[in-house]
Amino acid sequence: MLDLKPFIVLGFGLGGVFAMSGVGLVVLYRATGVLNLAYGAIGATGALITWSILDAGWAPEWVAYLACIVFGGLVTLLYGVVFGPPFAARDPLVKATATLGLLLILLGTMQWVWGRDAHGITLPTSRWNYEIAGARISGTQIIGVAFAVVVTSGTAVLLRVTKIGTAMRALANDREITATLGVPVRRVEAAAWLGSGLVCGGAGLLLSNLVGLDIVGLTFLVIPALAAALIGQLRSLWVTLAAGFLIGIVQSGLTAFSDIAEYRTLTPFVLAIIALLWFALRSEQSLLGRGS
Amino acid sequence: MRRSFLGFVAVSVLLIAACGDDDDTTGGGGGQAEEAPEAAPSDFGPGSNIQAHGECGEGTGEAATGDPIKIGGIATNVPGIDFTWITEMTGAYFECVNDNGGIHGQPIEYIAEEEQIDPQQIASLATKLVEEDQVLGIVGNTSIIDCSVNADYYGQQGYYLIIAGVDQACFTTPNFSAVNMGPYYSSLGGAQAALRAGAEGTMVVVSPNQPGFDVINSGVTEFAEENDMEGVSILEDVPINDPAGLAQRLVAEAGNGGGVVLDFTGPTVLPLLQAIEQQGLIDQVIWASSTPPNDPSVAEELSSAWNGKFLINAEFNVLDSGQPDQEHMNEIREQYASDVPSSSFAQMGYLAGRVATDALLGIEGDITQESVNEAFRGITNFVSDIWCAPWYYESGTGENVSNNIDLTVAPEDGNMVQVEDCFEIADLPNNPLDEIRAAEDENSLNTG
Repeated sequence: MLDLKPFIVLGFGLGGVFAMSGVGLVVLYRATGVLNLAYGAIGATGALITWSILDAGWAPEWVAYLACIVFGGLVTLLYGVVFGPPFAARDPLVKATATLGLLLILLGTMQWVWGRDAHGITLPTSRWNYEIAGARISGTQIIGVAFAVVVTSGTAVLLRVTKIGTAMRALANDREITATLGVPVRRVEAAAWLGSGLVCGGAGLLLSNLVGLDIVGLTFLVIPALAAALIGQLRSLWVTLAAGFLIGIVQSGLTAFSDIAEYRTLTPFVLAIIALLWFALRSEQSLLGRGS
Repeated sequence: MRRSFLGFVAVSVLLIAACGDDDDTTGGGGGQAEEAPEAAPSDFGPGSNIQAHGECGEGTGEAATGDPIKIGGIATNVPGIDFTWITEMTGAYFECVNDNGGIHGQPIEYIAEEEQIDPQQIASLATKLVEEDQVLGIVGNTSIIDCSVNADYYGQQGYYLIIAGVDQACFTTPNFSAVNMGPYYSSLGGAQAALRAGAEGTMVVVSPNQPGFDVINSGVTEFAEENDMEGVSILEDVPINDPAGLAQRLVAEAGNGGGVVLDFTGPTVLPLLQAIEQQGLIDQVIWASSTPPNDPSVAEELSSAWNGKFLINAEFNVLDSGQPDQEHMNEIREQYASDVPSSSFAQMGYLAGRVATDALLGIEGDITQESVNEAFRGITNFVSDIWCAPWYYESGTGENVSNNIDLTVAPEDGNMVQVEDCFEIADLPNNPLDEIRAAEDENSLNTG
C-alpha cells in the first residue's frame, strides 16, 4: 500500500468538486423539480468559451472567466424559460430526460467546435500552492471547497428565510396551488434556473482547472455529482455536500491500494447503492413499525 | 413516485457512466534501449515515392470521370476516442487524387464507416463493405476491435488491408499491414527513451482501461524486466477524473528516478500533465509517452516547465519538418480536411491514402478486387520523409510491423521538437521484431 496521506488530502479537493456539482443539482431540483443532467455539459461549454477568449486574446482574463459564468446562467435560463412551462406538469422522469436532449446538443456542439484538440485553462489561483502531507493543494482547490460550502449555506438560507426561497419551495411541492396563491410562478422559476446556471458556470470554470478541460470528462462529471445528490435524496443540501466530500475522499484514498485502485471510479455508484438500500430498509422498518 | 424517481436517477447514472467510460486509446511507436539513434527521416533523402508539390496521384489537374473504384474504411468513434480523423484524412487524399486524374481516369469512391466498439456492429459493417458495397479494397481502418473481430472474415474474402493499427491482432495477422506501429510498440519506444534518459528502478506504464490494453502494456513491463528494472502495468478509466491523485500514484509506483510511460490521447493526457506540474512531480521521474500526444495543441497548452521533459515516441516525423511529403500532407489537410487537426493521426490517414493510391496506379490490366489486393500486398520500399524507413506491406513472417523504427519528440516552448533521431524499437522474446528484421534483410524490404 502507498502512503495514504497525500491521497486523503487530494480527496478533499476532489470531493469539493463533486459536492459543488451535487449541490447545484439539488438546488435546481428543489426549486423547479427538474434534475438537470446537462449540468456538466453546460459548465464544459462555458469553460471552452473562456478558453477561446483567452486563446484569441479577445478580452482581459477576468472577462473571459466571467463569460463562463454568464454563459452558464444564460443557457440554463433560456432552457428553463422555453422548456420549463411546457414540462411543468409532466412527471419528473420526463423533465429529467428532456435535459438529456440539452446535454446531447451541447456535447455535439463541443465536439464539433472544439472537439479535436487538447485544451487547458490555468486560473491564477492554480499557481498558489500549499504543501500538506506530501500533496500540493492549489488555491483553486481551496476555492472549490469554499465555493461548495458557501453555495450550500447560501442556498439553505435563501430557501429558508427569503420570500423568493419560500416561493421556490412551494413551487417544488405544488405548482398549481402556488400559482393560485398569487405567486409569480414563471418569474420565480426563471430566478431558480438563472441562479442554478450561474452556479453551474462557476463550477465549470473551477472544474476545468481541477480535473482538466476535457469535453467528455467534464460532461460526465455529472455522474459522481448525481450520486452525491442521490445520497442526499435530492432534498438535503448538507447531506449532498457531505456525500460529495465522502465520495471524493474514499475514491482518492483507494488510489493508494494498488490492487483495487483500478476500480476506484466505482466509488460513487457503490456508495449511492448502499445509501439507496439503506433508505429502502429504513422506510420498510418504519412501515412495519407503523403496522405493528 | 419519489422512490421510483430516485430509482430512475440511479439507472440514469449507470447508463451515462456506460457512455462516459468509453475511452481513449492511442496509436503507438518504439526504440532500442542502449543503441545510439540512427538517422533523422530526412536523412533518407527523397525517393521515387515522394509526392511532388501540389500534386496527388497522376497529378493531371483534371477531375476523374470514369467508373468509380470503391474503397472502404472503418474507424472507431465514441466519446474520448475519435479515430475518424484518420479515415477523413485518407478520404481527403483520395479527393485530391480524384481532382488530379484519379486512377487512370477512374475516381476513387471512398466509403468510410464509423463503429462504436461493438463486435456485432463492426462485423456487420465489414460484411456491408464487402458484400453490399462490394469495395475492391479496404484502406485506413482504425478501430479498437476490427482486427480481432474481422481478421478471419477479411482473410476468407481475400482482402489485404492497409490500416492504422491499434490492437495487437493488427500486427500479428497477415491480412493487415499498418502504416503506424500501434500503442504496444510506441509505448515500448517511450520506455526505451525513458531508459536512455536515465530512468532506473521501476518503469510504470499506464493505458486506458479498454480491451486489449493489458497486452499493450506488457511490452513495457517485459522491456523493463529485460533491463533489470521492475515493470508495473496500470489500466486507468478515462476520462481521468482525479488527475492529481493519479499523478501521485504514478510517481509513488515508479519511485524517485523511475520511468513512467503514458499511453493516452492528447486531450486525455493534457489534464494529467497539468496535474503533474501542479503537484510538483515533473522532476521526480522520467516521463515518456506513446505517439498520440505528439500533437501541436498539446505542446501549446503545456508550460515551459515541461520543456524537454516529456519524451514522446513519434511514429512519424515532426509535423513542421518542412520535408516535401510532410508539407504535401499539410497542404492537403488544409484544402480538403481542414477540421482534422494537424497530428500523428492525420499523418496516418495521409500515408494510408498515399500508399494505396500508389499501388492502384501500378495495376496493369483490370482493376478488380483480386488485382487491388495483390497490388497492396506487393508494396515494398515505399519511401516517404514522414517515416524513418521505407514501408512495405508483407514481411513474409505472417506478422507485419513495417513501421518499426521511429524517433522521439518533446515539447519545447509551445512546439514539439525532435530530441532523438530514428532508432529501432526493441525486439523482445515476446514480440516478433527479431524475425521481422531478419526477413527485411533477407528480402530487402525497406532499403529505400
